[in-house]
Amino acid sequence: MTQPLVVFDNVVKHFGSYHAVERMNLEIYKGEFVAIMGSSGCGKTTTLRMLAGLDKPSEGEIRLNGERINDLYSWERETPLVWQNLALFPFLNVVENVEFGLRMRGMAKAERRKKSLQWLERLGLEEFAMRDISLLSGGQRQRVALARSLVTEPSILLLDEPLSALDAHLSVRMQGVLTGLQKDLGITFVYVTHSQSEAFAMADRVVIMSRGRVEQIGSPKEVFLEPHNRFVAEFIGGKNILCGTVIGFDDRGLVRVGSEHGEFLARRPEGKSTTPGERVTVCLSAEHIDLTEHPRQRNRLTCTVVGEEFIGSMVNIYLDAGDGLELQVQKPHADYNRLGLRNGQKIVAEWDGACALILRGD
Amino acid sequence: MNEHRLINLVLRSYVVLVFVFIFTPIAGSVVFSFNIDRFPSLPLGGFSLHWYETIAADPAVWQAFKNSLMVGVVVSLVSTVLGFTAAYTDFRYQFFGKSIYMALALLPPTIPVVIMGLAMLAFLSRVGLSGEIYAVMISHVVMCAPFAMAVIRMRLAQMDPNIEAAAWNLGANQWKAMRFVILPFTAPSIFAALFVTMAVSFDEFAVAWFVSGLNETVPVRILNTLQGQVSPTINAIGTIVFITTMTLVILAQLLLMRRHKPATA
Repeated sequence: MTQPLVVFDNVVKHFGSYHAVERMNLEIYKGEFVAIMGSSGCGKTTTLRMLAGLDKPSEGEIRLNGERINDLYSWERETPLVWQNLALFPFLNVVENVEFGLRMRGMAKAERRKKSLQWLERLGLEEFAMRDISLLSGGQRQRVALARSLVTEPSILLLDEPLSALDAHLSVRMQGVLTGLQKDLGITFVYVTHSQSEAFAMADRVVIMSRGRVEQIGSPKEVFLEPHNRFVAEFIGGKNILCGTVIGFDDRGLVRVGSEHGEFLARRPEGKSTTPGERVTVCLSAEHIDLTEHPRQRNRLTCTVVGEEFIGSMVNIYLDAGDGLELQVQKPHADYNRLGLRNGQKIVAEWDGACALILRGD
Repeated sequence: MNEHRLINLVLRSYVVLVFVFIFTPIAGSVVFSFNIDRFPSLPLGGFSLHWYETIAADPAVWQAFKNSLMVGVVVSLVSTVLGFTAAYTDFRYQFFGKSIYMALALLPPTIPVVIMGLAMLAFLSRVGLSGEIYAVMISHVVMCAPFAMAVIRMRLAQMDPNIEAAAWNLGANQWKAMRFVILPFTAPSIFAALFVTMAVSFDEFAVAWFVSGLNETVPVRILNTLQGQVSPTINAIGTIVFITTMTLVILAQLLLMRRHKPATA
């Protein structure tokens, strides 16, 4: 495999006694779109700031193109950042903002103006070049910030929740702009977000962080289909978590798990061994549960309907399975209407054992 | 609606009264500076530029204006630089004892001027500067720098701290970020600070009186004139000082009001 563009090698960052990032190991390759995802305070922004040279790692090493960059100042590395609040220069107009990076590199005025205008044109902003920043809309400012960071033709672009201030519609359009740019330019994007939909829609790989630690790295599909642990499963949502003890195996190679809700079957992730008596956490996607009055599967729970919630084309149905276990089931509208559920109604939730996944970690 | 109108009327009258209270004595001084009579009395005797001609012919007044101008220029430049550095330190750095640092930096204007004057006199005479024009400059810098700091600090408080970091991130080292981001952003407040500090210095009497010796500034000249005789030339000088100071302060205010652009993008 080729040399990674960026390597985080056992990187630790603490602010006083607060540990923002703990033993981070991450490799980012050329031309990749990597999203770092997590809730607020998980260390994702600190990670990005360390890469941008705005925070210095307390321990470990960050390498860019194989060279240690821990001690380089932000202005000594080529890691432009698109800020969450954009941080455009309010006293400069659009094109002056864009050419700032070239000006700092000492490029002659005519040349940097020409280049900046090209970038503005590329992002559909040429008619606003002389306009004051304060007169632009949110989406236009966003593109100015992008142009300002890209004008120096970096090999990597860092983005810190750049779409969080936009409305949903505009955000989706900007996602298209970003992925398009990233493909065209062939440069690496490192994108920090708390939004799963943004990360999954755009990224080649996602890094899920929690409390300063990396919980899982993988393609959106891998993470969605095989979350490594309970945190990831809960973070990406739409997952039910069951706990139990391994009893044995059935003839299909599925694991028999005994729990306080009865015995059910679950699949092992590849490469994980289980032994009888071991405590396991099982994850079951909301869309893999069927609701029926005539159960066919061995995995079933009799539940009470406690609520439902419309989310676009799907309906979330919440069930009380007794003993403090609540299940979330996701159904298309047609199926939901056919079931004709009422709150308080008893119904059987069942699923194929091959759809229930034993998690690698807790 | 009627109630609102009444409250409005009362509030407006109140504001007008306050201004009348503040400006009547000054207006009186201005009016009498153009009055021909030797002693201020009503009705007015007649319009005359006599008192202005008198001061224009008085070399001591010319010297006083020259001194004040020289002191004012030096003081405004030095105290604005000092004020800027203090304000930027406050904006940029967190350090142990910062609140004490800020309190000390803002302290001089709260010291009674007589005490300040005495202390300055005692100190400056010990270092052999008492009676020199530098003595007035040094004292005024001490008194004016906090005003400059306050004005510039207000502007920095409106700045998104990320824009400085954004400049670093785009390849500007700390000096370039200062030159191309911090200074352009704070420029209106820097000019305002120049004008305000010059006005404060131009007006300051007590400390200058203690330390100026023979290098009289304008306010010191006024008092010395007053001690010799009651002359309407004081009204004339006072009018010039008032107009100068007001011009400076209004310029500063105009600069500070130009910050309608949002500070963050």
